Amino acid sequence: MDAREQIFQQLIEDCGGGIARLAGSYVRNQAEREDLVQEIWLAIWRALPGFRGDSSLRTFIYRIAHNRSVTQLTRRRDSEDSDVLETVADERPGPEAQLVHSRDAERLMHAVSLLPLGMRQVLTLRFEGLSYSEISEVLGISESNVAVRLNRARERLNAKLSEAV
Amino acid sequence: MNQVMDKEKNGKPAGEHSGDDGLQDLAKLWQQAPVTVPVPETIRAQVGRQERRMRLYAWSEWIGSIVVGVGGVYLMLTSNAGDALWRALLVVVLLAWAMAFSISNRRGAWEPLEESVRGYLDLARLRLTRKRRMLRFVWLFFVAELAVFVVWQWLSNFGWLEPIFAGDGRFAIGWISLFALAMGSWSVWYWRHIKAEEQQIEKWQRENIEASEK
Repeated sequence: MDAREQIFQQLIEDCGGGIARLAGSYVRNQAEREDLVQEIWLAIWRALPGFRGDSSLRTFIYRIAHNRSVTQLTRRRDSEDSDVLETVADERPGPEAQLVHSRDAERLMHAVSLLPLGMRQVLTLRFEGLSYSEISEVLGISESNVAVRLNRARERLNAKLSEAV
Repeated sequence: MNQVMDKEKNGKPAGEHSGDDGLQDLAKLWQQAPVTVPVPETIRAQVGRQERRMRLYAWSEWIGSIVVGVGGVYLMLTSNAGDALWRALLVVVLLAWAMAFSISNRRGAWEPLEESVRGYLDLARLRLTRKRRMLRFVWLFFVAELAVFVVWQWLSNFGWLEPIFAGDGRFAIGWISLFALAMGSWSVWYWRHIKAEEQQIEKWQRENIEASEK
């Protein structure tokens, strides 16, 4: 296994869940998400030789993930909101508490997916644990802009979650 | 969930760049979202397959064109037609024109100019422009072919070339009309498809600009 493959494998292990969740906030069903995740990883694989270390590897791959997701959005045809994130209530059957938590998480993903693009981007990155400076690097905006967007996104998200309750 | 939300409302403003911006509880919940965690080997295999498929598409387009070109020329040259050479030349010229367009229409539309949301949206718009160009080219190509056929048929009256269409031409006109109808239906569908994509891109571009300006 060469260095590129090793790094790639490590990235999948470290960021696989995060990338899948991020992709989930851009698409409306499981099949679309799987396609998008696959496309993101293909883009990362192809971009890896060009990584010069100007930013952290995590920032680099989240930038690719976001850009690919935006491309996916532009391709998607409008469809009913009702099939938003038809994920997996029963993907991980388990104790009742876990199921309730899982449904809350799904509702959160749904609510995030309804936010405008700019807000959704900062929020998903923040949720994945990126710092303000990392988010600003990924999106190419200033840190203060990140803060403003996050603040607005939080307000919107709370409103959407309240509506849903 | 409500408790989490209440906490968020009372959290610190996001303007503070500290580790706690009031989103930590939601972040925890977010990370529990039931996504299928990818298996590295599976993804690597998928990526490999997808890369091979992309190469295959590009190659098949080129090889297909070469096969059609060579096959067409061969058929013309081995036919009994007295003007076989001219027919072969016509096939080559039309094919070269189509290939030249195909290459020029893809130029600069592979990758975005910059790795940014704006770069990707611009790329998406460029691709739409190219799709529209392709649609126009398809009709131009069709009309050009018809024009060549008409001129060819007219020249055959003087005995310079052999007629393309035998008989009174009703059969040929019927097929051409049917083909034009099918192409027309496809064009309407494709035009609507382009329009829908355009609206989507405009919407996202607007949102992206609005979010950047706020």
